[in-house]
Amino acid sequence: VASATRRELVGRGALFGGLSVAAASAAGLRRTTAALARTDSDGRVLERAVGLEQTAVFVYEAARRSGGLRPALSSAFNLFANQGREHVARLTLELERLGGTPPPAPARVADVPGLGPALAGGRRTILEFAVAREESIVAAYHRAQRDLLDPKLMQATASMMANAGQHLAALRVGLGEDAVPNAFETGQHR
Amino acid sequence: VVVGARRRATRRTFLRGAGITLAAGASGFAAGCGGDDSPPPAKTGPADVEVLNVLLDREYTEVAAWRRGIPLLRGGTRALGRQFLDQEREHAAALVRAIEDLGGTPNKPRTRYTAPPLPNQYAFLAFVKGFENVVIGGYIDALPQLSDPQLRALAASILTTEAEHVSLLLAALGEPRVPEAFVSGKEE
Repeated sequence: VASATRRELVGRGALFGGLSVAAASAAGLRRTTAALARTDSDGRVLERAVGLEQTAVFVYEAARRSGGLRPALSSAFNLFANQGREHVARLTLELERLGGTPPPAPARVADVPGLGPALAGGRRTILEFAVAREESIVAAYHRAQRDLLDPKLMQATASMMANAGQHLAALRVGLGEDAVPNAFETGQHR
Repeated sequence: VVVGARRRATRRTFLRGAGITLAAGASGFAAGCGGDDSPPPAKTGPADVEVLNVLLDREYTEVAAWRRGIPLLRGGTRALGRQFLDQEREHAAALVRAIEDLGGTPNKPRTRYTAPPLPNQYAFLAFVKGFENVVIGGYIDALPQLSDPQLRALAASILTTEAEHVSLLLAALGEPRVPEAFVSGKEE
């Protein structure tokens, strides 16, 4: 009886041990899968945001190089480009932490659809083009709040969204428009 | 420095009067980004209601502040103040709707808000700019606590509008209108 009991116990132990290992493996697998999904989802959001910020930086720099801006506007564009670079640096750091790679930045005016005609059109068309870029950035960060899974990335992108909103307000003033036309800034007012 | 300390003190006084604790508001935003040890977003509706009611109390306080300050404003600044007041009311209304949609009970505005002495336009603009920053910080703190992605998007759209308000208030105060790349609601 003692031997049978021991065999039973060993058997049960093996069974429970096996189940425990299987359960632990399944839980581990679920955790890994969830972590990979989270990384993949957040990575896609960051990759898109880096691309938009890089384009905005390029637009501001191209506008300054065009020589058609008054000193005050050129100075504002320089500030906005520098702040955009800070966003690119932060987003790139986070993207690389997730194993991603930032997209290539625009290198020529032709790389940004519509930029050439905007630069040729003068101050107003340049400002309107910049507004459209900032709106697309705000809209992307707004969407990101639904898609991001990492809480700290939610906060970081919201702080960049708010900064893009401030750029927008300043650009709208430059265009003689209402600086804050809507109580809910989503980047999709036009 | 003394003037700055005095302004901070008056803001604290006002917030205390409004039943708002600064420690729960503007100071919690971490400048660094994601780590794997980040807490997951909250999972329950009631938690969302609680978070939204805190934000709603701040919007009510903003409405009270603007109502108090608009008579001090002149010309275009007064028109701007009226516009911002309307937008703060829209924020409050949206939060009330969101709370009700979750089956919660939205907080009511207080019957009385205690304000510090605000002798002129400049004093009011400096004060309200500071409070708008507190509100921004509150929204940024709240984002990871909101389990519903749509509510996070709503909060982000409101805080971005508040940041636009701050930018125009800074300009009215003669300060740089876009002082930092990462808007945290923290004031130096």
